[in-house]
Amino acid sequence: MGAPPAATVTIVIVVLGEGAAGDGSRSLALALRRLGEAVALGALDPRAPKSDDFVTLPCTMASGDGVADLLDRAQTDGDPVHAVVLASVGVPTTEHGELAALDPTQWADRVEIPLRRTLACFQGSHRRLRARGGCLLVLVPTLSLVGAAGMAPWAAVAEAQRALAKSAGRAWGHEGITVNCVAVPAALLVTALRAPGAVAGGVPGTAGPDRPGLPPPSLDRSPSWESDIAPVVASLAAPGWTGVTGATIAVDGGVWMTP
Amino acid sequence: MTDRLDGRVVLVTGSGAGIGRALCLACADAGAVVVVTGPGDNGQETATLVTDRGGRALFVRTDVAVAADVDRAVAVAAETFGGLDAVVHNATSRLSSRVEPIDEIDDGTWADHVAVSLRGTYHCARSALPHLRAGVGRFLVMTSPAALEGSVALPAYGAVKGALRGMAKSLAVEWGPLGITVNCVSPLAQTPALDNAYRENPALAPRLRAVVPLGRVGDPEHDIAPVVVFLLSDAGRYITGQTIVVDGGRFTGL
Repeated sequence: MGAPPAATVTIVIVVLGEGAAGDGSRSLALALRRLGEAVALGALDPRAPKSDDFVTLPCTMASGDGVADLLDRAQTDGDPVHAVVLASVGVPTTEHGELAALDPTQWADRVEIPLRRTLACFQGSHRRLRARGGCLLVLVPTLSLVGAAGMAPWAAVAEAQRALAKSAGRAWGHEGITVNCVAVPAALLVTALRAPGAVAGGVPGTAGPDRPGLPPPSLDRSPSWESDIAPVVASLAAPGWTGVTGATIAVDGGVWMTP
Repeated sequence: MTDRLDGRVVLVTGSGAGIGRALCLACADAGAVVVVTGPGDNGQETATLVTDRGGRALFVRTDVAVAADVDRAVAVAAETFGGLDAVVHNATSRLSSRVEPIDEIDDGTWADHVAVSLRGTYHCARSALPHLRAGVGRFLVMTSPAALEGSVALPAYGAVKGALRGMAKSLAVEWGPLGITVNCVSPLAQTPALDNAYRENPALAPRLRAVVPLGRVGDPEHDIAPVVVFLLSDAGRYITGQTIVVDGGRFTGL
């Protein structure tokens, strides 16, 4: 049974994702750093720019061993990684396209490869967290909870991640590991959404690929990385939330109010 | 408005046994012409059972993980019966009931789950869409309690079944303007897979009976299939994007 880290121990959070400028993983890493967290970014994109704010490490997410090795390299000053956040699994998944129009290569790029990466992240994270306990978080788009035209691949990947998070939450709870999902507006997670009319004319952060005609956020503003999402992620990684696992928390300003 | 399927052509994947076979029998009893598909010989047994009961059925050997197989099954349905009105994707990996914790899932197991459940859905959607008609077209995917709740023993199965829910919700939005409904059914049913699970874990049967408010595991033909028939019929035409949980009240969290 892993114990929550003592207050004097730095909580190291590793964010895994595309890592490119504007990608949700990079935005989250930066926002967490500005909250004072110790952060490293594992980047799928080999061209991901370096940052003065956090360590950026290349990461293929090809295997559990590879992810575990990355987490070893992400340790800072001997402080072990306590939290892993899977923020994105590749740009193709987020591209707009009708399911029946996808060719087999597009299908594999958008669904099967990201799902394999997801499994690797879960396996690798478990190998490094199980000795001391910790936290695994997955960022998913709110569109996966409710569906969106042209986004079946992303919704499929995200709902698989949510189901796997529940399975992992059940399996690893006795080791002091919590596994949760945070659902955020899809437009926040990627830079260049290919959806027709993405963002234009909509409420920033809630437009893009989401279904048309949505009500505005109930909180009268869209969530931001720094003021809304990063604090939730940091909080979920902190000892106070060790009683929550298998949950999905929607940080969308109160648009869908689901599940 | 009726829950009959007279004259409808329904293709069911993975229908050589279990729930798939039950769906074929129930759809045929409701008046549908059934295209039985599956990779093994037992699909012909299902077709024979349907015809023995006075229904119409045709078996087309199909591996849903292979696009050409699905294309052929859909083409045979359309050529033989003049069209295709509904697809029920029920097929799952033969490894579905193999207990395998997350850490022990290897590439082969994961790939097989993804190929049959997920890629199979993609193949069915691509092949069937041109045939599905506005107001009549139905695309239905069988999911699982493991998708809704997670599963320590069957995480790979739960993950792909969860993915199907995401895909179905988005397809429902995507195909809604075409007049095609897309739904999931999450059954708790006495199937060969569950029989295997009972053999591996004898404590499972009494635990299931205790946790199900209705006190029993569902019968595929008489408890699960009627709900599918309803969703495929005119009576179900305004239901789309949903996961219908048919489990005796075991899961009440939606």
